[in-house]
Amino acid sequence: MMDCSQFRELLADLDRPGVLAAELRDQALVHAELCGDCGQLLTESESLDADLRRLIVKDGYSRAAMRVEANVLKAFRDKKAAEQRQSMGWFAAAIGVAAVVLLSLGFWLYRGLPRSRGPAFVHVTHVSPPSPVPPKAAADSDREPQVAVQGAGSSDVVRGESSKSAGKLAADSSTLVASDDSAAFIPLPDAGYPATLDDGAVVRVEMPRADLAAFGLPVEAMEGDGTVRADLIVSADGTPQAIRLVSQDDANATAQR
Amino acid sequence: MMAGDEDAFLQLYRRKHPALYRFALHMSGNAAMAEDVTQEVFMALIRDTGRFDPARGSLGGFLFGIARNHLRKRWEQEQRFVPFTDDRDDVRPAIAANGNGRHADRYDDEATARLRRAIATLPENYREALVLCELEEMSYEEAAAALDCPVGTVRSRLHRARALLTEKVRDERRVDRAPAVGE
Repeated sequence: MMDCSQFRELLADLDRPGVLAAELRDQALVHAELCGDCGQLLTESESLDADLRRLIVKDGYSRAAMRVEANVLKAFRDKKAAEQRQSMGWFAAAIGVAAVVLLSLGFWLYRGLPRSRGPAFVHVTHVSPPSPVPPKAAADSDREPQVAVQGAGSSDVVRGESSKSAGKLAADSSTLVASDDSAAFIPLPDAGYPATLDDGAVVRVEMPRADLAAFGLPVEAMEGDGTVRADLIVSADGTPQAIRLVSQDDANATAQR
Repeated sequence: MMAGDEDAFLQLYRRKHPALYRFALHMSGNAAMAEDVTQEVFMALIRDTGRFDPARGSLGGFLFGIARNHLRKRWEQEQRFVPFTDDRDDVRPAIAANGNGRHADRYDDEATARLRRAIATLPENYREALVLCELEEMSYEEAAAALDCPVGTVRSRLHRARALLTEKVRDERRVDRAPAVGE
């Protein structure tokens, strides 16, 4: 049997669904029927519930003014736009950094790669290790930087301080037209430090005659068809360093060997 | 909404704002303040979406928590409270009791107006529990999450609020029925 204090404890929950067990609720209602004071409390509580429900219905459609929605929506859009601007800023910064990196890389590669004005298309026919430097040339090279070239004669050794002048010197030499294995190598205008000639490989190539002009060679003095055979000294990084023309007979003999 | 979907945000606002507005209205008794508080709740949500942690409670509870904080800030700023004769320190009767800013009196019948006035004079803690559990029909658990307190506290506050409200309504009825002085 429920007493008044227990009833008052449960009074507020009598109408709340799912809070009280059905049995407990029934006991409370039975107590309210038997106890006048608790019955009065139950009546007042039910009256309060009715008033509250009326208030719920009355306020059920209460809404904030539309300007509140407009303000909130504007703030949402502003925030979104700011975030988009920020992300665009980051994107632009990333693009900028990537561009700087790529430009730096490109510049570095451009500086690092050899700038050769040699033939665009050459046909390699034979590769041989560099010929030993003649003792005289080696002795000379001890004194000052020079291009060591294969062969003999006054034009065999070309001073390396000016590749351009060396190119001119070579261009003046008419012996080049009918050269052979003993002929001199002529340093190319863009050749690097002359000492690299010692380490370079000799590559026999067929190249268009017109390309010889790029090396400063007297192409007009040469006979034959559109291509010529030549030996190139190619340095370790692949840059042609010097050239000499090869006579057709020498080329055939080499091919037979 | 967190991904910046405007439609989702709008739906969220339209679904949640009426309860928040009513809560602020019942707590403050002032429609303008209730609108300001409702707006501030959603502004705070926009400003700091990451603050809401679903693991800690429902979004509703989170929003009601923001609303409570803003109401308290407003009360502290404005200091426009009616002196309350209750012995509790945390009593903050709604402005509606003052007669200024009453939000629906002109449309209320007598009983509803009486109830509204009585609610407005309840201590803040009790009023919160009553508004959430009775007027917004939240469960004890939901109200506890919104008020950031244990379920037992919500339950006891609600019981006390109902008892106080019943007394106040009874007193008001008695005053209404009593003949005016001089009659």
